[in-house]
Amino acid sequence: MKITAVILLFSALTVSAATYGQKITLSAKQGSFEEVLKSIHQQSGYDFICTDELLGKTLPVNVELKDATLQDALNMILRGQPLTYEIDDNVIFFKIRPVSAPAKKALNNFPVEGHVLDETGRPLPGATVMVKNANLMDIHLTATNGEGYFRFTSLSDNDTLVVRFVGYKTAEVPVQRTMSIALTPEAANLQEVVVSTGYLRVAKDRLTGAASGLNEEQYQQHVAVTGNFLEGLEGKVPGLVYNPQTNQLSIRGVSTFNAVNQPLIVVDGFPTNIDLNTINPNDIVSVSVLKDAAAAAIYGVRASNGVIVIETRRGKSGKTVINVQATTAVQNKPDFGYLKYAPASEYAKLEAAQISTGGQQTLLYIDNLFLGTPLDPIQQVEVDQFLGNITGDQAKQKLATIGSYDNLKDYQRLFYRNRQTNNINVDASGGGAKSTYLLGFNYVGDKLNQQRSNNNQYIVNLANTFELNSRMKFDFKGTYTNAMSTSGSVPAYTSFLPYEHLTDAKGNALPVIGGLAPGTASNLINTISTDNNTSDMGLGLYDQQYYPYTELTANTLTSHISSMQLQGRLTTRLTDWLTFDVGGNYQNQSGIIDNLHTDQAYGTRLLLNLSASADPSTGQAVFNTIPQGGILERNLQTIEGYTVHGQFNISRSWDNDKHNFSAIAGVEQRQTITNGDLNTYFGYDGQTLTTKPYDLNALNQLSTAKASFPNVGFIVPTFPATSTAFFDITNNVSRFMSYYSQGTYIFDEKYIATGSVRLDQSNLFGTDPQYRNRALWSAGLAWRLHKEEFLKDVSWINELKLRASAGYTGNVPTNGNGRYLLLTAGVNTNIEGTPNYYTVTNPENNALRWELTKNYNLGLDYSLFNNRLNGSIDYYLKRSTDLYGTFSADPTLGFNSYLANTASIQNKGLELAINSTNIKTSGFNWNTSLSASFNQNDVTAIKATPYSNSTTYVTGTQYVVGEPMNALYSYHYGGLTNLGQPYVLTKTGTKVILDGTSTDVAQSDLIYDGTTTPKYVLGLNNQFSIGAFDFNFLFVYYGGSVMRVQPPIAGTASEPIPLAGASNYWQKPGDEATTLIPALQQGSSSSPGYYSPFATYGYLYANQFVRKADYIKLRNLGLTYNIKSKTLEKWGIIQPQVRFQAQNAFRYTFGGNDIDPEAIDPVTGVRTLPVEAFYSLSLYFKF
Amino acid sequence: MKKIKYIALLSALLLTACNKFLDVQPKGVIIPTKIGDYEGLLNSPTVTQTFSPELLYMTDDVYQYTLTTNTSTITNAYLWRQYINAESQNSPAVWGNLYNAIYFTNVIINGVPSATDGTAAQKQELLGEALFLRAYCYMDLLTVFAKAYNSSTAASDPGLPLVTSTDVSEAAPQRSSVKAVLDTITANLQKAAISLPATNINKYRATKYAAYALLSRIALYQGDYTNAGNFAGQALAATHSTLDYNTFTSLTDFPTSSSNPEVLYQRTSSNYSIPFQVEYSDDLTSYFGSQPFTSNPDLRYRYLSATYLDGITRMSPDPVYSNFGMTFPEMDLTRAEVFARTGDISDAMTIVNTLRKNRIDAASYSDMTASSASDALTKVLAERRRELAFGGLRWFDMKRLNRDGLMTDVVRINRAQASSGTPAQQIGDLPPGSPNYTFQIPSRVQQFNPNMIKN
Repeated sequence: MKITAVILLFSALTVSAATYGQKITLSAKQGSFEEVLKSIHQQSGYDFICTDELLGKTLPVNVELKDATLQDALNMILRGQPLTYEIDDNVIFFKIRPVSAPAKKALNNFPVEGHVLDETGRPLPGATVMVKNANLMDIHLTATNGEGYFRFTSLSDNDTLVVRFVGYKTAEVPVQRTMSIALTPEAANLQEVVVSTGYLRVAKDRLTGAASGLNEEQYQQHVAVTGNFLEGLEGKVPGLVYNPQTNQLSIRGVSTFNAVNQPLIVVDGFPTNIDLNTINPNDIVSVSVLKDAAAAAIYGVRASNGVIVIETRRGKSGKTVINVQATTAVQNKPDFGYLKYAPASEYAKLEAAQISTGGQQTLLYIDNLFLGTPLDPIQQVEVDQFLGNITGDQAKQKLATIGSYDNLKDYQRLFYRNRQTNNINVDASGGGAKSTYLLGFNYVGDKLNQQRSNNNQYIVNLANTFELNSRMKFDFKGTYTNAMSTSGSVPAYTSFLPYEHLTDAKGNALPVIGGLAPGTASNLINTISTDNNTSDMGLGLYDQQYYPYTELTANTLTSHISSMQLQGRLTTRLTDWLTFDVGGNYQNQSGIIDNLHTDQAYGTRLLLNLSASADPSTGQAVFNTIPQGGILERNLQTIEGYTVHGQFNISRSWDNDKHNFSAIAGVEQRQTITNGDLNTYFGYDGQTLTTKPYDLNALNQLSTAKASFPNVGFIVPTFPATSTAFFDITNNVSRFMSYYSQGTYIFDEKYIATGSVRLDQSNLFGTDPQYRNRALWSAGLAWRLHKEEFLKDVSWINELKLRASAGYTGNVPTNGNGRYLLLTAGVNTNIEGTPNYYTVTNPENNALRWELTKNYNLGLDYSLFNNRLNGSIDYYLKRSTDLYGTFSADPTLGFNSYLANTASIQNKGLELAINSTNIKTSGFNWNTSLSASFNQNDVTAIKATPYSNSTTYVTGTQYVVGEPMNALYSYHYGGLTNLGQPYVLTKTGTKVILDGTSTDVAQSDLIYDGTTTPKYVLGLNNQFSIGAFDFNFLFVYYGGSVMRVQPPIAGTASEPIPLAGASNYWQKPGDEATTLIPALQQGSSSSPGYYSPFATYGYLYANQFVRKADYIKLRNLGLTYNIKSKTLEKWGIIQPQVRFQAQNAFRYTFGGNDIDPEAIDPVTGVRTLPVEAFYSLSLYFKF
Repeated sequence: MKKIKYIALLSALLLTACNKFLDVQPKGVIIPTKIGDYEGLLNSPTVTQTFSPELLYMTDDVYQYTLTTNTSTITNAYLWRQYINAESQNSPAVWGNLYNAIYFTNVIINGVPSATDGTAAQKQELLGEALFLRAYCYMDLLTVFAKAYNSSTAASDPGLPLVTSTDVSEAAPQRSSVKAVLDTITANLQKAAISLPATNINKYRATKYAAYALLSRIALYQGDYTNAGNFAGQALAATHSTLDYNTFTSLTDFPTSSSNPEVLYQRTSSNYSIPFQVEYSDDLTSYFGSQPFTSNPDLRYRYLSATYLDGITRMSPDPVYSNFGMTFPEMDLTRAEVFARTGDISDAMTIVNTLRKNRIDAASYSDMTASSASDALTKVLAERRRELAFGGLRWFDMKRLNRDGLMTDVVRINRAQASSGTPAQQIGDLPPGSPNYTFQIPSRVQQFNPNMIKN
């Protein structure tokens, strides 16, 4: 038998799973059956198998189809043909239609049994099953039982069943005796990309603005181990820049200096005011990012920074499904080696050299003797040598001994550990025809890198939907979050000297002398000499030495935050074109932040010693003002807010869909109340919960009172000066009333016009009525080119849409600002009777206006080659004017700085999104997505602060007209003189040794290096699926910016600890040929090699040490194994998966791989600890 | 259709409810409208802590071991460098905090007349306080940034910008002449003296006597001795008394500033370490004779001193709120000076001896006599030096005495360091008639006002 299989278009290139839901449009007159099939194949993605023999029996086809389903299309083309078909998997087989006797039809009735299943093969209980066009006399309607089965007692061959279930496409199936009917979910129609603006959900092809969306599959590629939902957005949305390390988030560049600079985050239609950690990343099903005015202006004054709209999961009708995910993750302790600190041996040499260079330093140390502060070991050696107590050789030997121990390793061991994180997510969902439910639980347990630092959080949420009647739907969601975090106090590595021992051999904490006082930039001036300390302790005072290792356990910060969110939305269908939504959201967060300092803590001991008085007869210490024991600072913080809105939705089309109009109009009211209540307990004992009375006046006089014991010291470096720092109440009420409207008109399915307008009113100061009623609006146009006649026949274009929009967005001033003179109250504890007072916090400024951003956007959405290549291109221009900034002002007018409209900036840029299906076969898939943003930011106007001197100019980032924000400047460093003094070169080549005056070098002698903000941000995501394995990796690229990298410098004045290599400094004439590192500073200005401390800026801020900050990081790598196990299936475990994820496992830096541009301050060049790679293993399954 | 009606009703409710909804004012912040709001400004630390430590370090009362490389504002003042601020980013010392206080007074002066409550008398009183305080601030600024008053050149010597507006978007006015500044503040004070009360809630708040005392100071600064004497007399009409130090046994027996009957008007500094960590200069110590402070017959020296580092530091009767304002003994000594300058030797010496009786150990006390008018003046000024030491007025006195040719070279030395064997060395001086008696207006102010006349 001759069977020639004709398999139409077998190339793997053309098949795409994404197209199965495609509607079929075709038109044929006397067309060949084969050609028609090819056309259907191209549109639907289904393969057909038909033998030559059968093809020969077909007749020419006359058909006119528009957006028909596959089944309809096949039924139409088979009308009159002698063929019928069967669908098997993705392949459609044709066969000869069996000829049946017409007489049999009516008579051959038989019982029918069927099973209704969902897309994953699970039964759907409660589905309605009905016989199409049934005779009313028959029993024609039933519903599936708990196992998804239904039964009709007597049906005929001719009958067709209609199966309906909420959330699924209605299926029409010809009757068979036993049937298995699989429903496909409505949402599975992947062509329909929906963007949520928070106020409504719009099909993406109806938008005129720039909005990007991520669906559940795209978002959930990333396992948010620590519960940070923003992590999963990086590199996936063009224009959105998120740095997980600094937690900085921006959309289309920064368009403000001092006002709110974060995008607005909207969850399920309501802006959120509380902690973002309360959003469970596992719950997210879609993320929409609104970027331009047409998309975001509906949020009015809060839209200037863009809007992120998140939608979370709801239950689906059907049998209860339980989803389980468990993740465990590890991260190495931070690498302090990256900081490149000079080792103790080098430090000891440098410190000794510095002391012996010039009498100034030595004198200073000897001065310290008067104050009773101790000398550190190196100082002691130098002073001993200076006074002739030891010989030079002895001194050298002592220095070597001191430098032989380096405490960095011990520091890491004592204060850091490997991080370990566990994350468990369980939810149960299901529902019937009229209602659904979802109950979820999420736990994150995080043992952080710092010892004693732990976070534990759980979230419970419940979501319900109810179809109250045919006209009303109700949606409810409630979330409860409980987060508890604790941490000890980890002293900075710079708070002691590299050669000091932190513990003895037994692990007991040891006191240290050198370094910086905790939390300050000044020396530990209260460090007390051992002798003085011993004699003070003899008087009953506390040990006043500083023990870094004790601080870890002596201070505990505990934060316990619980929050609750409830929201509901009732949608009423008033007519077939008008609905009314009324919704509300209530958020309540309360936190207890306890900061406990036991009497082992340095701060507590110092405070008690300072406040102690001497018993007149015995001279012993009496603690009668501040009681002995611990100090507990308890801060209660609450945030309570609600939003309610009422909104009409209109959607109408007429004249055969030639005109389509939809609009919303609504009113929204918001209120947020924040409260803070700080209280402090003295003499606190955590076990017995006792506290003791204290003298409030003693607290007020801490900074002024002189201690009764002279050795204790005069100045309080670590404690606040007045009682208001121990007791405080804050309260803030902000209210907003907003009116908004948005409309879309579509003509002939080709031309789209949109517009929106919003009016915001608030009770905040600074909202002058003059501006209060200034509406922010937007307008947009779009043209669907692919619907035009001239492109209709271009088969490789599936979608082509051109968009243009313009409009205004705004930004609100932060509270307590405005053009009015504003006073804040306080209590003057420096005056007897502590009267209330007012102080001016905001001077009168009649020139102050609101920030305003004009947005323009031009975009193109495309989908080509059977939708295998799709994406968008956007060009935008954002002009922000009247930006608030701290204006450095003439002190003669009363203020050295105040908030003013200081600048205008412009952001323009290009955004590119490309999604490509590279390979699609049954066993191997490869998809690539690229998101690229190019942003050019320019300061267009600035109320400039006059140039004062070069040193203040280079140490900050500058705003200069014509240059981007955060412009970095540096010196043209010339090198060293023959006395080792660092000099810089002016434009004309003159050598200048800087002295910090305004006349040393001019502004024009400085070199502009670039901006510290990346201009190019790229995310490249590749996704492979090979059999049971899925593999994806995400590279991010940040480029176009510069960073300063601090070079080593000898001398301890400018850095806490010099960097390794500093000992290669200039020591003798001639060295200037081989080193750039300046000589040690001379103590006396009359010394020959003397230079001002400002001269070192020429070296530290030299152009030579500015590098390209471009880098690539492998931000995320994931490997998933989809377990196929019959045994597990038998146990009811569905879709088990194991997933391995590595974050930040690799980096490449264009400016030298020794620096991680994410772990450096690009302005000062000071290194910070880099984030280590984070590895996690997750297990997923359903049952 | 029924539903639509309900919805329309609901929408209407939402729309009309909004006015009251937005009327809630944020807490913790106010726009001043009431008399109490303005009065609250006078209790602010900005306004009570107007004394700048630099004013103390400029004087010949102070010794400090100083590194010449140090460019802090304190050191620059101590060595009379042209600019007190070496840099021009921060709020300039003396200038910045005083003009900040002047802003507060202008808020009151411009706002109080239209306050929504309070009687006309209350408004006048508050206005008087603000005018007084503004004058006080201008007087401090004048001693630092303008030449001493010289009747022949005062009308052309640059003084200070007189700021009256509270709108920071306006430009700063040009410098008025020294004479114009003094005339303005004198006129303001005379107006204030009429409405100010005889007593106030605490000593930081002005009374009419404080206004007379300040008028007396201004007259003294201008060499108008008749008025200086008259105004001092009017100030002394206030209820007051002089403490007899013989009744004290140690520093702890002294009353605090608030209960000290000698304090006429109190000023403090935001820097609490003055005068505690400020050492006596050798010059000042010499005024108390050769006996060590522990056994010195002058009880001011005995009780108000302590050993500190390599010298003697000043202690304060009030361990917390050291006063740098005005005292009744200052007014007494002004009157004595006026008597001495006008040749009334006996009245001058009577005032001095009345004060000394309360200050010198009774066992070693004897009346001081003067042989001539100039001898009397010398003795009055010496007593003034002792009585008002570290009191915040010495720079004012140095300015006017220098004009009168009564100052000698002021020398800054670093004392010998015994432990390291470093010998004493001179690091700076201020010769009589030196232009360094006037500091340059801050470079930051020059940046914003390039056309402002420099000294």
